[in-house]
Amino acid sequence: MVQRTNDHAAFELLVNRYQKKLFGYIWRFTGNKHATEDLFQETCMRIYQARSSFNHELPFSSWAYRISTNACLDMQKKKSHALEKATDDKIMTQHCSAHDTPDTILEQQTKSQRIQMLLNELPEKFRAVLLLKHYEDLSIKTIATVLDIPEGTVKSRLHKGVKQLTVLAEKRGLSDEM
Amino acid sequence: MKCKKTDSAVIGYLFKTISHDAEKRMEKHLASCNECSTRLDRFKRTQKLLDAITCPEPPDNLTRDVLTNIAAQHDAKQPQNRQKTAPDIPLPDYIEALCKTAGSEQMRVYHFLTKHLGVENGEAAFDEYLHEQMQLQFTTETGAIISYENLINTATGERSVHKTEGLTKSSTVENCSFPTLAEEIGIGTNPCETICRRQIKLMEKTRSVEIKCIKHRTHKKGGCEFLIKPKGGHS
Repeated sequence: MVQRTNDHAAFELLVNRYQKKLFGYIWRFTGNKHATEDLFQETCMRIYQARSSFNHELPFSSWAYRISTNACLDMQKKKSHALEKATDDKIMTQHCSAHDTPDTILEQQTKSQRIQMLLNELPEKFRAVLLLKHYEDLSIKTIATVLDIPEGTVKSRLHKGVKQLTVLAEKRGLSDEM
Repeated sequence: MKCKKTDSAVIGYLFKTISHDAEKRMEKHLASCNECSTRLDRFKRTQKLLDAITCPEPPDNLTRDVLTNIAAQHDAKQPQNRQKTAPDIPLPDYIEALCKTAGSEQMRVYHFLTKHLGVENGEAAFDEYLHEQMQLQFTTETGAIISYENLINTATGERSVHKTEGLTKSSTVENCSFPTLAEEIGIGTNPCETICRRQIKLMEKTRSVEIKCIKHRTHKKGGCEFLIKPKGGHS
């Protein structure tokens, strides 16, 4: 097993393999570029430090999501700069197609930012479930493992999260744009 | 008439968290219930909103930075350990000192290899050495599996017997059946001797020297003593 070889090369392999997924997850959790980079580093550091306690019965990705979720929640608790500033940041580096015109990019950024702001208004426990389900396409069972909560709680948080987000989007008139 | 289905049922259907049968039933229900169809459309708009969030690519240098930071933190911890277990003694005294005491084997081997092969080659050799060690596992009479590292540390007194699952305080080589172990590292007679033997193998592999054990001693008495001479030369 790669995880067991305990060497730098194996860890580099893991980071490279999961960086896009973890980076995307953290990005959507925070909506802030700097916070995402910091939390990605923090997540990798925690994974490296805890590598000997990795439970090999779990998929590595589940374990990595758990660590990154905890890192995000810890940062939230500390009321760090990043999450507080997320809604104020006007410039967020977006992933845009080479064919997009500046107007389209601006429009996409604005819409994306506004939706991200809505997502940030959700309680973290709802947000984590929603992100893991919608973007990472994890099963309810896997999300329960990642967050260490019962499957029923996962479903309940997902339903509440979607309902809250729907109400928020309707209040802000974002639903009409879809 | 107001439909008795809940929002949760509709969301469960939309996010595919319900069983296949429940999904079929809901499809059938949606075809005939305007209220639920409207609710489904409402939540679908939310789902589309989520799809509209764009995510940037990680910066090119992010992974490199992460690995550099981790390596830096790792290295920051190493010198203290090295200082504690492997004083900086120049050759050939260092080799003698190394051979006289076999405890803290790994740090000594690391120090030796990096010192004399350079950091890059030394670390590569050390990785190879660790990898080889990590493959070794031994089964006790109770069926517990013990890693080589834990066993050596227990044998040399660096790790408490209580902390090593599968070993008891009264375990001895005689009453503890480690057939593979006894053969592989000879822990029954002199753990120090075997540890040193591994070091000799490594040193001979990486240096042009021949090493001969001239006096076996237990770990508690300071370990074995060795005669070191250049390959093909005189001592």
